[in-house]
Amino acid sequence: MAITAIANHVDLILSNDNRGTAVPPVVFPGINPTNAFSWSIWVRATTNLPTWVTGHNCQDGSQIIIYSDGTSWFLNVRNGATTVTNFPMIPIVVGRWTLFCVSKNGPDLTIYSAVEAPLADHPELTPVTLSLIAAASYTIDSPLYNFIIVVMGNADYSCFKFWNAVLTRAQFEAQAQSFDATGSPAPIWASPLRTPGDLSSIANPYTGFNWGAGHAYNLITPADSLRIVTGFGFDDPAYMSFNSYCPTWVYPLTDVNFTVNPGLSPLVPTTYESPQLVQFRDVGSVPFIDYQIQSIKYYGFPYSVPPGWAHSETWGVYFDENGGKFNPISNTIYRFEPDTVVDIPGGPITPNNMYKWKFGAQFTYQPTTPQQATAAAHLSHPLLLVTYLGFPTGIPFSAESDLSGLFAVAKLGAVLDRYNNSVELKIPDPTIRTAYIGE
Amino acid sequence: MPGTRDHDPLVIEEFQGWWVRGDPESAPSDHFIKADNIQYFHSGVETRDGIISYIENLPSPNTLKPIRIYNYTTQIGQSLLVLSEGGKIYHVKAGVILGPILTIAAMEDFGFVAINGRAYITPFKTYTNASGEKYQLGIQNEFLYVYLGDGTLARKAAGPPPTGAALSVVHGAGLAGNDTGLHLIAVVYETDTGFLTALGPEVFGQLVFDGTHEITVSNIPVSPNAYVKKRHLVSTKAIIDYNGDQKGYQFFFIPGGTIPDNVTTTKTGSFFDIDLISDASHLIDNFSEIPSGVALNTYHSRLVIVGEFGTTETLTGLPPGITDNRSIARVSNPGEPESISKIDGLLICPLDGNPLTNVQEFRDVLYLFKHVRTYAYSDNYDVPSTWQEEILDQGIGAPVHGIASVLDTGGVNTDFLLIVDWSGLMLFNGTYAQPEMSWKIEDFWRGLNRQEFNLLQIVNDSINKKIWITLPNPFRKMLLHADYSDGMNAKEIKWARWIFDTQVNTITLIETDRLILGAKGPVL
Repeated sequence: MAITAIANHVDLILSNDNRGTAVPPVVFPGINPTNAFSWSIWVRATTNLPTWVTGHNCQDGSQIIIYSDGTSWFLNVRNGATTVTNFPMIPIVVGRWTLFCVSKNGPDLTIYSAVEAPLADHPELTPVTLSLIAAASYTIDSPLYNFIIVVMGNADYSCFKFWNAVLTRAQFEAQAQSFDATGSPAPIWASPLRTPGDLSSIANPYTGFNWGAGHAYNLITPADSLRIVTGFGFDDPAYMSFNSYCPTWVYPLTDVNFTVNPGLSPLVPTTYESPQLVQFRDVGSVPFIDYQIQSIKYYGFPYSVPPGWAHSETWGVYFDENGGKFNPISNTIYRFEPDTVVDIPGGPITPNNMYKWKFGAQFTYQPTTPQQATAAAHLSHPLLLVTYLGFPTGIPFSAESDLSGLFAVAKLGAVLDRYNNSVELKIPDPTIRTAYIGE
Repeated sequence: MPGTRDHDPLVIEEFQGWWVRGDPESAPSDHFIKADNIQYFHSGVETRDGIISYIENLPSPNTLKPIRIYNYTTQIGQSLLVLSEGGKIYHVKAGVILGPILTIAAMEDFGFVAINGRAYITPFKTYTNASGEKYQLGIQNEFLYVYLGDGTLARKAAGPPPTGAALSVVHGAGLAGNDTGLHLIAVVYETDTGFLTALGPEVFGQLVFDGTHEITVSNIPVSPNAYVKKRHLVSTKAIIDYNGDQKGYQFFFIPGGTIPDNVTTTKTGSFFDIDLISDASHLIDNFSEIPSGVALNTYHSRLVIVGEFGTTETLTGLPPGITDNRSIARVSNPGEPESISKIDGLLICPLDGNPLTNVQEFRDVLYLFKHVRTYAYSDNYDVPSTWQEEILDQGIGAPVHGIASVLDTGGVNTDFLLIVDWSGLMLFNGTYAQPEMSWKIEDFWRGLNRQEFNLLQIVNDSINKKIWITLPNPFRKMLLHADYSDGMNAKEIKWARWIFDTQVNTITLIETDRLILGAKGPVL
């Protein structure tokens, strides 16, 4: 499950294990464009495996990253390809809730953190005292495309709050004790329950405008994978009047983690293609009009799994709607590392054909002497980042092949419309769920 | 308990469904002014059932983009015939897609009927007249096709007569009795569907029988078509004063004159005229290629096809200004669905400019439909051209898919037809019941695009007492759903709309009451 907030709406979109089986986005009003914002989230590591909480400026690749190496929560700040800072903030206590509070005011970034008291009878009611982790200025902003992305795995998450304002430590602390959606200032958007998966408690979805295909969700699963994206500079749904471009994410049909491991390091630089391919589908965000599209880019998280000789570069592999293959490795605009958003060659790819494209990954290993065992190369969380001018359609859009064919009404309890290739869509806007007369 | 702020509590005993008639404020309190994606059960209402893929293993790329589906009942089970984009018809059997079993690029839609496990298919398309009005007719110079249900290609129904060198008939050496005199002998092909072709070859054989020797027929034509499985010899009785018109005499099947293959070219035997009983003369007048129409059905074991544009053969000699055969229904011989006489195997409805759109048997009467006309014909056990016509209704008719198929059988329910008409969903039990079944949603119904009523397809699940109807633009993501479990009348029927994220082009019921949707998405 992913949550996407862009300007004054927030989209909930399935991702990770349930990618491609999305219920359509749910939209929340009230997040206004501003350069000053704050957010907080409770996190509870469930294992000592690495996990991520990432703030990401997707326009120029600069990022604010909170991540775990398994023993500590780290802050990593990047300005494009350059790491500005990287240091451990606090140690991880598996099973213990940790609060991160982040405020950003132009280039000024302030981060607070706290860990819940152990052995409390009611830890959710136990006050916490925030500690200042960092307060510094970083010129990593892009004036328009300023996102926050929170990516989590191997951890529980809860109680995400967002403000269009810079909060002080006292205000953060007050909010930390308040597990509701009120407080001063009141969050623009909040999931107030500090229980795993409480994002399902989000209320008041925006159902106006042309989101007629229906936007609601019943459950956020799995609990250990969350992506939150918030952003500013856009005035949804009035993109057109502000003449600003709207970025949105398009998710894969099926969960995939591109990976390859050649076994031994090569004698000359060699690029290996992973065997996996994936297609994408949209849940109602991308208009179908080609000229409204500013760009369509390919997104993913490259990494390698030690031990062994790690790959040096990650590239995309592309098959267009006619089966034409593109696998460039000569131009760095197609290279994932260090950027995580790359251009798409060939095509051109358009909003009308991108659902027919297939995407993969390839990994370059440098030679070693003597040869060494290699580490597995990975590219995970593939997404398409589509930036467009206009309104979201509200119409789930998938490859024609997904929605074409023969379908049978499934009696007795099917709660979704299940199309081809495991595409699942919510039954659009039932007038009523269930009602009995005389009971 | 007194009502709040002087409002009395409202007791709703039963949900009565969607109401789209007049001002929303006029909707009765037990009706919905919006009823999307819901279904009704006893004393309740709930979100409709979801849908699932009917075929697990789709081809890659997925070429199945259904425009029309029918439940095709073969002798060993049920399956689906699916017209997909590109004029390709596939046979979906046991989750496997066979075909395409028929490809006609110009085919926009097709009519279908299953007889004896075989599928009869007629391709048709939509035409537009000078006034911009759309109507459906069989494709010009296209024909009725037959499909055996085995994955092999469908072929034109009926078949061409024998051709080739003149038939040779001579006396054999063996002794055998027969009636003296001149006899004409010809050959008839029998196809794998049991169709008997017209007589051939072009020049029949002839011989003056001597009454004492057997007869040897040679040069028997061999068909180039593999679907010809047998050949039959036919003969006249002894002819006195032969006038040279070889087709001007009555032919009979020769007893023992069947050649059970498509290889043998010589046959020897003998017969007496008194043994010539089974008539074959009518075969001369049969179509070897049957013009396509828009709808097929059966009546008294006859195949009926309506909505013909015509072929080069059938469009000759028409009156000035007439360019097609839109008001002609072709009717086969009983028990021989491909045997249709060009001479008397037809019904001609009033030539009012409107094409025939549908055909249905009900209570032993054959009903032919135009958009706003209904005609009735009764079998008088003579040739169809002699059947008497009765104009039943000049204000109500049915579009090409507008008669509800019932369960997985098609056609008639126990005692009524459900017919889609411009004025509403009509209950037909010999006459059209009023008010129409769609009375509660009259405003919605009247707003439907009449030019696209050919896109409406209706199925009736008479077990669960539910109806579904596909809709024209801009409602092609929707199905109209009705529940008549409380009564099949305008007052007690309950309506709703089912909405999907794909364009639902066509529906059918299979496995008795399982609703199948043929969809092509997404909808822009």
